[in-house]
Amino acid sequence: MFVGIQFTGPVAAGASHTWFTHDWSPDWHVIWTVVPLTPVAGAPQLDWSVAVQRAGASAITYWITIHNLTSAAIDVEARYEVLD
Amino acid sequence: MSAADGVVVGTTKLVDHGPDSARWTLVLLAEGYQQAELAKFHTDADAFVTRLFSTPPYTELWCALNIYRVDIASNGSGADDPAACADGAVGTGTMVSTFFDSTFCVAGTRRLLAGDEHLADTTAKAAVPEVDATVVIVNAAEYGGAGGLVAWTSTNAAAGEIAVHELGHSAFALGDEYGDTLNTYAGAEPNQPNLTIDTSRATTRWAGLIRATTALPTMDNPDCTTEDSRPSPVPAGTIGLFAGGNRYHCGLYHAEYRCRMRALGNPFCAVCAGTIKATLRTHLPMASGPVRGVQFTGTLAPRQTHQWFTHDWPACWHVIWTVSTTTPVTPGPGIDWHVRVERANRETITYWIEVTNLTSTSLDVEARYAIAARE
Repeated sequence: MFVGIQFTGPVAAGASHTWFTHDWSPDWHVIWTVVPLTPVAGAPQLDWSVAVQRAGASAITYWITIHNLTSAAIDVEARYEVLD
Repeated sequence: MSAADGVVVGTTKLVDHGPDSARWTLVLLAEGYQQAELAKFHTDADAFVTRLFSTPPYTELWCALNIYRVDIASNGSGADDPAACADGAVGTGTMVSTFFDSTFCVAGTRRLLAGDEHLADTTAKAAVPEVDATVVIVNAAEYGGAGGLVAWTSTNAAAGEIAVHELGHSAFALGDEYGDTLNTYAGAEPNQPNLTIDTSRATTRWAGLIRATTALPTMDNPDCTTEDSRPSPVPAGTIGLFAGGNRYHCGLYHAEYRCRMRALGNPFCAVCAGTIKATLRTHLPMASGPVRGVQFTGTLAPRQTHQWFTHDWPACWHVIWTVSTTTPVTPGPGIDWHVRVERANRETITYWIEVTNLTSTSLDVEARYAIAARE
């Protein structure tokens, strides 16, 4: 198993933003998680969903959509956890 | 005026992301604080930590860092401030007895503030053996700082910016990207990764970041006896070759018109940020475990949606959530769930887990966590 940070970036207030990351091995069991980098206490700040594209025999592209649930811009960090 | 002019009081870990041997460990030393002023040092140190967290690329690599505060009580308060400095600036003439014997007007430049670097280095190592970098916070309100073996900053209103800039020198070997007192550099390629003498598109240090359409040099200084104050000829963020570095007006080039290593208040340019990232990235938490468990259980009425929250999870842990029903359901799906995330503060996360019962019968559910990385 190994883990890491794939990308960071801003999401505007109330907005959704989709990032993609390509050429992941289909043999890897990859889980995506997202956390805010901007502290704001009291309520959930984001949720996310992952869509998957089999780009080729040996490549997967993950499309990660992050939704800012708050009324202020936040920075986010997308993390991967590869369970192999 | 030396270590005899004060005493090391104690060490406190301010940011703890795991063992020092695995993290990039930063030590903050007190200088020029008397015993009764150490509470002020605590405030100043906390302010620096907050500032560092809000400064890219440290923000995204925060989990790579551990930070300590070392309380040192000096006999005197402040720093030496010579009345006359070679650059023509006038100081207060104050001379005080402090642990590291820090002074303004180092090398004849009043804004250069530093003290006994060797003593600072050995003091940090004695307090925190795994130290990677050290910042000395000097209890003096005058603008000043320096970056050598360790970084020095005053407590001026710009202290946070000063410290981050000087840390760029001392921890990552970044050079100043401005020219102020020297004319034309004629030496070899400098050691600093953000400066170069090489104007070849093919071989210059950050050649891979320069677009083919960007002119090289991108901005030369037409008068090497003075600082070039003209506006940038290219849009912000353009990477190229801009004259100025290591206090020379000409002969050395940096990568972008604006950068924190050129002038405070700017973000780090791509080359400087990349240099910092390359070091810190290797200190991020690695996979461990996973450690698995059940965080909570509950019962959902038919078609009910309920949201639970669980707080104070370390923000640097990689936590995976799943929810399962413990009540058999046949046929069809029994529940679905969504995870929402709140960064409650710099160091902790609250997870909000919403579970919906999709059936017409009551269901028991359990929320499970798997911690994929802790240290």
